[in-house]
Amino acid sequence: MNFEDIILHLHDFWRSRDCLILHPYDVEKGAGTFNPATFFGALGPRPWKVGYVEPSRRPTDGRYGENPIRFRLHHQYQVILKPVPDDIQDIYLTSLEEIGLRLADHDVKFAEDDWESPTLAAWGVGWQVWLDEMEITQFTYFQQMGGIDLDPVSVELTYGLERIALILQGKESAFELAWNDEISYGTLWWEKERQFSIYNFEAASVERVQEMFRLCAQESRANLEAGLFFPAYDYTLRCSHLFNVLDARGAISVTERERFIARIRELARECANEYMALGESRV
Amino acid sequence: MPALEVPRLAEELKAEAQQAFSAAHLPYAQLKVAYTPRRLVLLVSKLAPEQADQIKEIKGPPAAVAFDQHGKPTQTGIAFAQSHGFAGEDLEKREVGNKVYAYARQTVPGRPTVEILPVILPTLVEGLHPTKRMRWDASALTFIRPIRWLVCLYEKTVIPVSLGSLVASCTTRGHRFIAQQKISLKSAADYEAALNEALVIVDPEKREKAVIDGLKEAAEKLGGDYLLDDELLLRIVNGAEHPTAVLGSIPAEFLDLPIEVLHATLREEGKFVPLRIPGKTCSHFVGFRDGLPDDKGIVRSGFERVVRARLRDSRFFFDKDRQRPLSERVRELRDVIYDVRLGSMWEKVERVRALAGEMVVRSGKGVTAEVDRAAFLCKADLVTEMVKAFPKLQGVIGEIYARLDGEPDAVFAAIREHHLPAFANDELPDSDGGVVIGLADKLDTVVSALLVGEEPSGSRDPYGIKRQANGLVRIAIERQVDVDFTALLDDLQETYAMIEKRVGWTAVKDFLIDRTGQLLKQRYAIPLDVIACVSATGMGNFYRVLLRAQALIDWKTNGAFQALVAASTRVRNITESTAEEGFDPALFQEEAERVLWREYLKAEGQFTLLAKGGNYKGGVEHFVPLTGPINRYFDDVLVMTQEGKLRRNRLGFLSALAGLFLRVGDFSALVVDNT
Repeated sequence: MNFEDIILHLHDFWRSRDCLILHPYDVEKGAGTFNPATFFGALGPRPWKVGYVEPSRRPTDGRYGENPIRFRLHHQYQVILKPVPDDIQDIYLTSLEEIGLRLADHDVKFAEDDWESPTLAAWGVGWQVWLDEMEITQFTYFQQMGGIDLDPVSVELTYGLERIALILQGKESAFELAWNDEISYGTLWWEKERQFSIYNFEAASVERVQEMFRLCAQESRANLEAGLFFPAYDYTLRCSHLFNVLDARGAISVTERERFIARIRELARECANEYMALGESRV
Repeated sequence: MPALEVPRLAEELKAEAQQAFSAAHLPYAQLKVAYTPRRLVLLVSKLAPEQADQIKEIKGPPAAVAFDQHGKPTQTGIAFAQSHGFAGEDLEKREVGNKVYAYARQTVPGRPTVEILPVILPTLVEGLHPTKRMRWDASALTFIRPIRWLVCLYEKTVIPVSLGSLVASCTTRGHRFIAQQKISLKSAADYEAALNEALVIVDPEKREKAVIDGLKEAAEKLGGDYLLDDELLLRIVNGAEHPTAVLGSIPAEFLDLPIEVLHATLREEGKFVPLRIPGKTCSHFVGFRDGLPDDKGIVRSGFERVVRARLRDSRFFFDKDRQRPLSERVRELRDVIYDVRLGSMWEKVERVRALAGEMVVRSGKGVTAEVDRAAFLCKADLVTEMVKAFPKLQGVIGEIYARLDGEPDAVFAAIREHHLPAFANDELPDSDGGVVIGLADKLDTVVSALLVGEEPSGSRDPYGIKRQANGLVRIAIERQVDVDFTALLDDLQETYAMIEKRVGWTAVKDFLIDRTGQLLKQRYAIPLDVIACVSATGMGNFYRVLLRAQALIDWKTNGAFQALVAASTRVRNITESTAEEGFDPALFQEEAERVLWREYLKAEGQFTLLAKGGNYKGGVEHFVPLTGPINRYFDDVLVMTQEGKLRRNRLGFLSALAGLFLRVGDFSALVVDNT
């Protein structure tokens, strides 16, 4: 299965389970969880089932293209199901078989992992799914999002597409993966990985990025004051990404980290609160 | 369920069950628990089919009042019975002593076990204490992970226990991947065998044995042994329902990495067990698959892929780190904030260097130049990629890099050792450098945190101040560091001049002294009265505090010493409220004064000499002869004489005498048998 096949199979699988197939959100983020479809979708009582691809930027994971399985951008396949089906673990395992993983040949473990996002004021309980001891999916029952206790609880399945493709295609390095039958993953992403690693670790202007952070935080706050929580959330996402860049750049020390995170969290909380306050009429 | 938590939950389940069955009067022959990552199992053998009959009875009023002349219960009698949940018919007469009373007595027939179980079993689950509770569906049920099915059988009978929206049945499931079929259990006794057949090893001891056997086999084939610690073992045993060993190898390109790095990389997250082959470095490892042997080699390939990827990460970190010597990283500590109120890590290092330098001079341990170099480098590894990736390797990485840089042995050893003890019963630094810098670092951490207002409590101590203080006192005592820490702090106040203080120096000293008292009790088994005795005076030299305490424990039971205690108490009591200092022997009038004075001089001289070398036990021996003279003094001398000059002189002398004893402690605090 090439990379495209995997994604299309997952779309098919989750569509057949009544999921809305959505798209990546167009503001930088580190995980599919940050996509408004998850952040806001998890809040409140309305049932919600979605599946989408999310390219996720993690500046500190950059390796200049020299590491076969770690890079500053990886592709997640994100599924949210609210409420949670009783046999969700079985459904998930079936989805793996659907994309060509013969589980009887491998080692599969559900290893405890309690996920937490200090910036989103969110936490959940669940597992990392390890296939031959390689983490391929984050499997989380959200308990809280934006500081709000969730009822009903959502389950989030976050597949690590590169990792899964490596196992399926029997390749050593993600850059060798077949994106489709003609083009390799490396052709599309290697040079970008190299340039962004240089940018994030060495070239980013600390002063300008800090200033951008400040401006985004201010813009987010201004939007919240006007009751515009969706635009405010976009700026919160930008703050979160800029913080990640500063972090990769080494410009954030141990105690400063706490203050940055607290600022972003405050904004996220208020976005969540304003969303909940909208009540039944929310979009 | 989390691998490290399942055993504890199983133990709790067992304890709860024992209590519940006992309270329900349900006897059994044996009760045990078993568990896998996805099951908690309670197995009870020979559980009685019904409760024993229970006799309920209560003593009532005298029979004369409760029964009429025909022997029938009166209104009084009936009222009494009913008020305690009995009926008139339950009353009977019984002789107690030589009086006759009414007793209400009922035999409550035991209910069948199958009726009781649905009542008590749900409470067992609810009574467990997982570290975290989560919700997963519309029921109000919470637990550490979602509960998906329940099985309950009493012999062959299904007990329909209900929990949340689940109802127990006789259907369980086999191993998720290698025996998926649902299993219908015929009887409770079949349980373990039926699951074994379905490739689930419910008994953790059997799984552990399988793991150890797998490791032994793999290690022996290569002529070596395996590196296992308790936590790694638990993660492996409780990470699978059917753990099977898979041997993997590490490519030669990684084998030049320091062995500590290889080990840390493999063991992270409880995945792989390093193998040690004599003469070779760590070239192989063992992973565990939850399933059957890896005949196709697919799992081995997968494990090796993960190990290679991680080692590439470690290689990346190591190479990046080795681009510069450790000493050049020290300046990067300027950008690492230690604490907002206390400045950067660089400033901490400066403080530690100053403290360590003083410590060398005062303790006589370590060589100044080497200690200063080690103190300079001791935090540099915090800014290395390797320590950022593996925080637990702090100190170890510093040592390795310093060694590779060609720093002297004393220097790189101290870099690693100064972190010790890392936890309550950890080892202590061995080298002088490790001791001195360990003390300096911990002292700075504790003092600076307290000065800015941190208040560690039993439940909240984010800076680990208590642990650091404990480590500090332990090192001082057990490495025989003859330094008065309170005096040291007095001399080093300059070092902390720039800090905005929320508390005073007295509070800081009191904290250290309090910690010492706690350790004396908890770790060195010093009785409370001895602690009270030594606490009355100079606690700043922790090492000497212990020596004084031990001397007192030895002397406490000695009769002659006990007599001294009584005598010294008289001296203490009379001088307690006086402020007189100094005396002139020329003013002594009575013979008893001069005798006591001469004995005092002898005792003081001998004691000082012996105490200097730490021999408090021998020093106290020289106090004993003072008993007689003291008692004679109080017989013959009027201390509180009207003559002011004489009185002040006598009080002054007695104060000096009291001061001599105080150099060990306040003996009046000792609890001695005065017969």
